[in-house]
Amino acid sequence: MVEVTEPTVVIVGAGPTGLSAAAELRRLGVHGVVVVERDKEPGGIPRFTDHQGFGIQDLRRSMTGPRYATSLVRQATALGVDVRCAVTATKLADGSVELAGPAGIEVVRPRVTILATGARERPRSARLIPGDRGAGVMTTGQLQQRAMADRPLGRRAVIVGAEHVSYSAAMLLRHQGASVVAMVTEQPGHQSVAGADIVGRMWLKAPLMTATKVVEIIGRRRVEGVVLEEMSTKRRRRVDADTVVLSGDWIPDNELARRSGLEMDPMTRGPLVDASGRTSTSSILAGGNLVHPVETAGTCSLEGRLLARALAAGLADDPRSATGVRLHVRAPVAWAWPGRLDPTAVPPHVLFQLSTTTTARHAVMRQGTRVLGTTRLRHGRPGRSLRIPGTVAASVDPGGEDVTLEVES
Amino acid sequence: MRPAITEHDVAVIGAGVVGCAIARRLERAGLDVVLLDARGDVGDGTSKANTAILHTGFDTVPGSLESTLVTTGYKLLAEHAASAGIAVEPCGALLVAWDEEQDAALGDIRDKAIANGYLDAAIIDADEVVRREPHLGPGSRRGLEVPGESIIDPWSVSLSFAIEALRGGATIALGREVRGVEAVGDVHQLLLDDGATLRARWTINVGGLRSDEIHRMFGHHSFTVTPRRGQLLVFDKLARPLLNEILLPVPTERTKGVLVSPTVFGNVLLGPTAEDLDDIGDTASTEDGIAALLDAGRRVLPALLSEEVTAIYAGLRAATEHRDFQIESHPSERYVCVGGIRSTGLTASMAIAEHVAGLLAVAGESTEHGRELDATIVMPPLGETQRRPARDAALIERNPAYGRIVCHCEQVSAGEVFDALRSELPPSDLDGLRRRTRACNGRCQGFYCSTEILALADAAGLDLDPLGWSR
Ligand SMILES: Cc1cc2nc3c(=O)[nH]c(=O)nc-3n(C[C@H](O)[C@H](O)[C@H](O)COP(=O)(O)OP(=O)(O)OC[C@H]3O[C@@H](n4cnc5c(N)ncnc54)[C@H](O)[C@@H]3O)c2cc1C
Ligand SMILES: Cc1cc2nc3c(=O)[nH]c(=O)nc-3n(C[C@H](O)[C@H](O)[C@H](O)COP(=O)(O)OP(=O)(O)OC[C@H]3O[C@@H](n4cnc5c(N)ncnc54)[C@H](O)[C@@H]3O)c2cc1C
Repeated sequence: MVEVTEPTVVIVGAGPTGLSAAAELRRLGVHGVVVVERDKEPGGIPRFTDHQGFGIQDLRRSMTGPRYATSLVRQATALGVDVRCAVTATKLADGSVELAGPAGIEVVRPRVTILATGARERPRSARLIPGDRGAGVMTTGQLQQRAMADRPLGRRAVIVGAEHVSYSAAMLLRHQGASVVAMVTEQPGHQSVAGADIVGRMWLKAPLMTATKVVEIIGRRRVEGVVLEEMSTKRRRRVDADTVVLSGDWIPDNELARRSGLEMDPMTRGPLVDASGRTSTSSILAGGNLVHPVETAGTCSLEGRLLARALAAGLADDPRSATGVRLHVRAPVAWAWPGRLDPTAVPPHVLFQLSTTTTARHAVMRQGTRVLGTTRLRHGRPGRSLRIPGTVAASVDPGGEDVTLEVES
Repeated sequence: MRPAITEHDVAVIGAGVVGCAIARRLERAGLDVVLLDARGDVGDGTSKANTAILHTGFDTVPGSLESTLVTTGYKLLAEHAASAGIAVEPCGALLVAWDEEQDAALGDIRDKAIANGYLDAAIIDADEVVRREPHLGPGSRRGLEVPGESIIDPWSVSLSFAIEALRGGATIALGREVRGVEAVGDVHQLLLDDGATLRARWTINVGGLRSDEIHRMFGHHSFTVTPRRGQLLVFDKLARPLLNEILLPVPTERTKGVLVSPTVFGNVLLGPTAEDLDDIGDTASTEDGIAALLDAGRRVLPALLSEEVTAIYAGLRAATEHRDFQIESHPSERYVCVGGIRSTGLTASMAIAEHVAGLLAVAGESTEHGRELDATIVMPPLGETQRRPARDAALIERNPAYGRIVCHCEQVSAGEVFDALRSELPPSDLDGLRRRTRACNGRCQGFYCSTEILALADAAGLDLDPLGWSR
């Protein structure tokens, strides 16, 4: 009879978070580390993001997304991580994980499961954009995958959104010889790095239309244009286009987490976690873009390592669930990570993003009336990460009231 | 020179669910049938965009043809679905009253159900309503339960009829539009868009939104179709636990209201609107329509609104100036019109087919059930409560392709996609593949999988990419 050894840790998702957590666990001497990935290849989203800018924070050099994905996979497998592709985690219950794939359906019972299932861009339906149903509406993720598969893209595109990923879409389209007739954002400005608007205008020839929204898509078989509304005046006009790229507007891929009954954070829409990735269920951890939609691959990768270190240190004992004090946010703060603050698990930083543009200058964290920390905002734009030094968590009173994060002038 | 002329016993114009049902029924009677549709796939008009409810007929107009055909069709389709493995969930329905006027109307609706021969409808009190549906918004009152109302996979129904007709020997001509008709002696000669002609002794007009136009080609003017648009929102599967049955509005003089219903695919539907249009091609959604649906949904099931919308679509009902189905037989012309099949045609489809067979019999055709198929057809199990291939260990062991999930949101395997691509009635576009497999129908709408699925189609030699072949 074949002896079945249960894995010690099962990690769901072979993106930067999952692969980095797995590699770190092996470095710390943990045996039986299995990563399951539902796609036929590991690497996560960076596999399709064929431009520079990956690896700076974690691997200390800049490379393209696909090369970065390959490096993470190589590193993990070289350290003895068992990466299984085309395997989907379909159910988590009572410490067991159900895995489905071409080899059949298997139930494993690891000590701990780490969810690292990432985030996706919301499609047209979720954004409730009315109009005809002609083909040519896609997310950036789809655009990138089409480009990689050498499938035709449009000639005249409207890009919805003006964050990093939107400029990444614009670059790709320009590179493929298409023109970007407009980048449209409901915000008063773009949300990418300083000067992105100038680069966009001069080099990408992509006019930025701020405080504007898409109110209709026209074209029954193929997209023929969009109707844009200038939000302040309600003036509408039609712009001809054959492609509409819906960029950004991320949502965690949270189905498995929700179906497992994990307590969710209504703001991030991912599971509620502390800085060690602990959730409301002791045997399940969660990290990466599943718990903060979205941060860079490097941030996710470093967080994966952090989770692994905390986990390895505590593996001798029984794992415990997140018990820290709740961190709530006040508008225009959209969400903050970690949603539970625990003085014994101090994060490198508290991450947060805004939902609308603000002129406020500071972020303030309070427990009751006590100010835990104040930081100057690096910018006041939504869709881009902001940070507060994690040391604030150390001063949280674990028996005290909930903590709030808000912005002030 | 004109292309060759083919001759058939019966030409069925329109391969919606009703046309497919008729073609299947007449084929079984031993007639040589050709089923024509202007679109590239069967069931690609109104039949693909409805609320997918298998109606008991409790609220039809008593004594109408529709009442009879819906009541009979309900039983026939339930039997067919069970034997063909098409997903049906007998979840029942609850009409919920939200104000005094609606509350007062419940008794009349129950009486109407009885007049329609449906005896199981019962009024339940306000507390019981909330107990059964704990997620209802505040302000609900009494309700009327209709336990027989069911939900069904609407796409597999049209497909199963068409495939059975095909196996029986029928010809299915897709992408062929009927442009005109001329009588040549005893037969009709149909003129098609590509210049070809086709001869048939009998013609059945099942043209849906264009049934009036075809009717006029035959020289009849008894009705005009006014498309009545119904916009619908489909919510994520994570919303499914919010309701246990179909939540129907109580119709009053002023408004018909919208329903919230589970689907056999495990989603939740909210809709439809009712807007009279003059363009039979306008299946767009609108700002006002979406806003109205969200308002209605917020009242009935507030928690629904925090779930993701995974699809927005609109269907056009073939409404006419008459209240009933427009089914007419003109035996001397060997012409039958099946028009104005507005809002219950999915349920009534098989009964309509029996009715049409009867009309032909009256005119002297032999339409007794003749041939039975060699093997009963089995449709792929697309229902959430059925055993889907990716969850079927024994099947995966025989063929690992059923374990290779390619559409993650809907858990569709490569094996199922291959089956659809290689079937006797393959899809003509990505939407056709969605209807056959559910692939790309989920919450990500192709963010993860569309490119891989298109590549599978490429490999099978089918160009399903709406934006063109891969380079
Ligand atoms: C267009 C675009 C451009 C970007 N550009 C940059 C950039 O320049 N620099 C940068 O640093 N970052 C960039 N990012 C962000 C970066 O890709 C993400 O931060 C990173 O991929 C997040 O890692 P993750 O591991 O949390 O999630 P993901 O990379 O999304 O990985 C999650 C993995 O989990 C798998 N999975 C999900 N559910 C299951 C299940 N049930 N069973 C098995 N497997 C499952 C998924 O298939 C996926 O492979 C970009 C992202 C996009 C979309
Ligand atoms: C919003 C909405 C909700 C509904 N909900 C339900 C429900 O819950 N339950 C239920 O039972 N019913 C429901 N219905 C009704 C049901 O969908 C219809 O009654 C049914 O689909 C009608 O089928 P059909 O075959 O008559 O028409 P169609 O499906 O419209 O088919 C007609 C076909 O004829 C073809 N055609 C037309 N002219 C020509 C020509 N000249 N040459 C070649 N081909 C031609 C068209 O291309 C089309 O494919 C609903 C309808 C709507 C709009």
